[in-house]
Amino acid sequence: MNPWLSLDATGETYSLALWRGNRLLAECSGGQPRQHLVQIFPALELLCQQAGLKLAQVTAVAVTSGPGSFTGVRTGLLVAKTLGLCGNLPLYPVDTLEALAANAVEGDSVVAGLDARKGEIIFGRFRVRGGLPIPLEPARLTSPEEFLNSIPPGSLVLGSACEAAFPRADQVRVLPPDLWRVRASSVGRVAWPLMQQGAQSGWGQLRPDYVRPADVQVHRG
Amino acid sequence: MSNYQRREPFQPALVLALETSCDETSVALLRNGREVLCNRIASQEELHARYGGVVPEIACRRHFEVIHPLLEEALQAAEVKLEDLDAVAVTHGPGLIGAVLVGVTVAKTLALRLEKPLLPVNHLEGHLFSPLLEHPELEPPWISLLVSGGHTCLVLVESWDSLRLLGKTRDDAAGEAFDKVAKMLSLGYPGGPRVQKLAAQGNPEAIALPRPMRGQGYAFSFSGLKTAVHRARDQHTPADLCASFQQAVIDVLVEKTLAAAEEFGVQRISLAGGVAANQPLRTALGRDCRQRGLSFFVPSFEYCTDNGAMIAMAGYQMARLGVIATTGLDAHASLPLQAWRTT
Ligand SMILES: [Zn+2]
Repeated sequence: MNPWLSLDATGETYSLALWRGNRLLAECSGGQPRQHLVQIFPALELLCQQAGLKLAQVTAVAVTSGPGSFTGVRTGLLVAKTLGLCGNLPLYPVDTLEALAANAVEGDSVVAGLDARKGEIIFGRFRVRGGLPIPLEPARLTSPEEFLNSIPPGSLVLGSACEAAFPRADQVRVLPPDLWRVRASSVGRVAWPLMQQGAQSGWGQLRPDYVRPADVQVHRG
Repeated sequence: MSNYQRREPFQPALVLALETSCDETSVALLRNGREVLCNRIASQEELHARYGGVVPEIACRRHFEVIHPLLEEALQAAEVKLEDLDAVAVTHGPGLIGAVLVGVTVAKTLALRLEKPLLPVNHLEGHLFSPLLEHPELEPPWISLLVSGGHTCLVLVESWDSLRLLGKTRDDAAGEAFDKVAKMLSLGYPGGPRVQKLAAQGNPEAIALPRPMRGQGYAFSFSGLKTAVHRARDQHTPADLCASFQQAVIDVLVEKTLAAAEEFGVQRISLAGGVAANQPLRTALGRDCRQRGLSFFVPSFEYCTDNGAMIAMAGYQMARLGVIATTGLDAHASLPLQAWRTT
């Protein structure tokens, strides 16, 4: 079976994983915030070495397409699109909130929320079975208060928005912070059924989910 | 992590270059360090015009959208395949950081995937070497006047691996001053071509504007000139204001460039950067060089604005010196000339 790559760069840290079928060959996560460009490529090189592969052997790429930091979202998608263009590879965009919810593995109501800056939170609610999320409602961009009020009692909550969910820790279960980061293994797990269904995109079809329009602050040199 | 590493010098037969440092996305292919096979430029000028300047996040989003289609078009137009490349060159600064990141991310992915060396180019070095695209006979030493919307400086190219910054602007870049005067006179954005057009109908001697920093070495300053234009605004026609302003800028640029040539005993002068597209400046500097028996080199308009071909040329020069990027290459908002020299 051909190897494929999954990656996430939408958050403060990056994550990369190599797969053969639904078997994870190697995964690597980490880095410092806003250092994706410097850190991802040496990590990718090392990951390929660990898996005994060349990057050119990768035959498909799954990538988170947002929400996330504008630059981070672009970084992951640019890597995927470029690999896609090089080898005419099928690409599989994955929603960041869905990849995050997949960290929960099992749950009837899993709320994945991200700090969307400007005092807002973006979150989605999922049922998760066997590590695969099924969306229960469309993602929403809200205030932290609204976010807290929208979480049904008994929900599992994870993601950077959890800082705001702590006041309700008696009614919801906030998962441990190490699960608040998107893992490339989760991205790949979510993408695997899409691959089985042949639901791929070409590089020209990959669109970032920025959530917000661009700020129109003119640059002054 | 270091940006650069040394290896044995090489001459890549086919260089692909990406440029995304400001509001132009460009992809170019250069054969044997001489022949431009293709130089695609997607300008975002219209996108930013309504804001009166470049909006960084809008620029980043557009670079993201167009870079891959542009890359595909360039390869098709030049009839080459990615596998044919011998090196990938990319602007890694200075520029709008988010914009630079787009080009560098794509270039790093290409280099790693194709297992080809990555040539990390300083955007200013791209402009400095742009005259070589059409004048392969140009050899160091030469004096380069680099004028654009973001930069105004005089550089002595002592040898292929030694660039000496003689002076730069202390405030506004020349192109920035054109933009600001255009804005003051409600001419719209970008200002350069509009000021030039209106100036053609005015009298360059109508207003006695200052010649900032005249006789004070190689540093420039244009913000005082802009203020002087503002003060004269009500007593003169826009055409006369533009003509007098443009003449003042040209006088200062030409004078300092010629003074540098004399001080360093250099026989060759080049003009580069977006403002090098200003026809009266090209004419004035060309004429004065001829009068003094100096050779004058200026690129076609296509190679004055930001473009991939000049990045490919500068990248080719780095390959000849054996400097390539590490996989840890970063993007930089500001980047001194020849930052790679310490490697
Ligand atoms: Zn430039």
